[in-house]
Amino acid sequence: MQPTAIPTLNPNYSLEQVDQEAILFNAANDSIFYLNNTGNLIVQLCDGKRSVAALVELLKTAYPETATNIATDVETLLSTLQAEGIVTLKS
Amino acid sequence: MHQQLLLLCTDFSVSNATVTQLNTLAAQVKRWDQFVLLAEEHNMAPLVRTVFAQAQLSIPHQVKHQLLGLQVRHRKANAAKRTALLEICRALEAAHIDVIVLKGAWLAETLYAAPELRPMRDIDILVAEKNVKQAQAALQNIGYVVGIENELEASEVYHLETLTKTIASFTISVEVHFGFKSRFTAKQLRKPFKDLWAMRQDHQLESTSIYGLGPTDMLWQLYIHLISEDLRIGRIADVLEFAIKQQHAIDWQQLATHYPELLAGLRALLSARGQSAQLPQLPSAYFPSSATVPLHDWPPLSLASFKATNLSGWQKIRKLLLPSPTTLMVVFGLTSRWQLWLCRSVIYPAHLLKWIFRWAVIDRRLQQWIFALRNPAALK
Repeated sequence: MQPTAIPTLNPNYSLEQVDQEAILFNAANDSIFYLNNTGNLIVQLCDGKRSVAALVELLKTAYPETATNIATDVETLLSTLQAEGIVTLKS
Repeated sequence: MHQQLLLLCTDFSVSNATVTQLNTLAAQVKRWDQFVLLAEEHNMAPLVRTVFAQAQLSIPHQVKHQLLGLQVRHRKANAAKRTALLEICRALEAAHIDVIVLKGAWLAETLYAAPELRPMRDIDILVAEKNVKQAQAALQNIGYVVGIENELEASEVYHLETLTKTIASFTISVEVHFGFKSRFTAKQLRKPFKDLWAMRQDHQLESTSIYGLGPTDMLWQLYIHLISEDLRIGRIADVLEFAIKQQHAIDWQQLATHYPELLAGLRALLSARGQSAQLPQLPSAYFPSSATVPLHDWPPLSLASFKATNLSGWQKIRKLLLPSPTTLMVVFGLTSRWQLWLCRSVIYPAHLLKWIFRWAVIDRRLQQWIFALRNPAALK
C-alpha cells in the first residue's frame, strides 16, 4: 500500500455508532461491516484528505505504547475495506 | 424458550432478577441465527441488543453484530419516518386539521429511550371523520400517493387506503384513520374524535407539537392492537412499558369498570415475563386477583360476525381452532408448557363449545378450570 495514497470512504457507507460499538452501514443494500475500536478510529480519520502515512503518524502520536503495530493494523484494515468496496485509495 | 427470552427483553429496566433469567435462558439457546430472525419478526431486535448490552450478556460475536446491524437499519428507517411524521403534522396543521399520532410513531418518540428502539412499519394517524378526505388531499399535496387499497369490508373500514412516499430511499406508508379497529375485538374505542382530542397528550418534535391519545385511551388502543393482530412481542413491550411509565396518568378505575379484560391481560403479560408475584409498579388495587379473566374476548366476535369475515374457509378454521401459543398466553394467561397443553386440549375446545352453543354449564366449569390454571398452588 502506497503511504501517499488517500483513503476515502465510499459515500454509500456511513459510520454508525451505537453505544460503544461502531459499524459501517450501507443503506442501499443493507450491508454492514463491524468495526472494533481501532477500526472505528481509523475510519473516522479517513476524511478524503489525509494520506495513509499521515494517518499512521497521527495514531502513533496518540498511542505511542502500540506504535510498532499501528502501521500494520492500518494497512490490514484499509486493505480489507478496499476489498469490500468500502474504501477507495486514491494515489 | 426463544419467545421467553424475547419476553424478558420487554422489561426496559433490566433488573438484577431479569439479568439472572436472561443469562439462564441465553445459555440454553442453540440456534442464535433463529433467535435473531425471531427478534426481528417480533419488532424486538434493537431492544434485544440494548437489553443484552445492559445485562452484559455473553452472546456470540456474530449475533451481536447482526443485532447491531438491525438496530442501525431501524435507526435509518425511523429517521426517515420521523422526517415524514414532521412533514405530515406540519401539513395538516397548515390545513387546520387536528391530528392524533397513533401507535409506533408516537411510542418511538415518547416511550422508548431512542426512537430506533421501536421499529415502525408505517405511520398511523387519526383525524375526525369529517376531515378525512381533506387530510388525504393535504398529504397528496406533499407527495403522497395512494398505495395499497383497503382490503377490509366497508363496515370494518377504519382508515383510508394506505398512502406512500419515498424518503431517503425508504418507502413511508401512512394510514389515515378515522376510527379504530373493531374486527376481531370485543370492544372498540368508540369515543368521538373530539373526546379523544380533549384528552390528548402533546410532545415537542423539533419545535413542532405533535399529539397522542390520552394515556387511558392509548393503553386500551395498544391492548386492542396487541390481541387482535398476529402477535408481536414488541407490542407486549409497548403495552407493559406504557402502563408502567404512565401509571400515574392512567385512569385505572375507568379501565377496571369498562375494560376489565385489559387489566387481566396486563396481569397475564407481567406473569409471563416472570413478574407474577406482585405488580410492584402498577396499582394492584384495580387488578383482578385471580380467576375472573373474561374469556369473551377470544374468539372475539359472534359466530355470525365471524362467518361474515372475508377470510377463506381454512383461515377461519385456523383462526378459530389454532390461536397461537402467545395469543393463548395473552388471553388465558398461560405461563408454562403443560398449561398450554391443557388449554389446547381441554379448555379451549370447551370454550369454543360454550361460544358456539352458549352452554352456561360449560361456562361455570371453564371458570373453575381457568382458576386452577392460574392458581396451581390453590389445588395443593
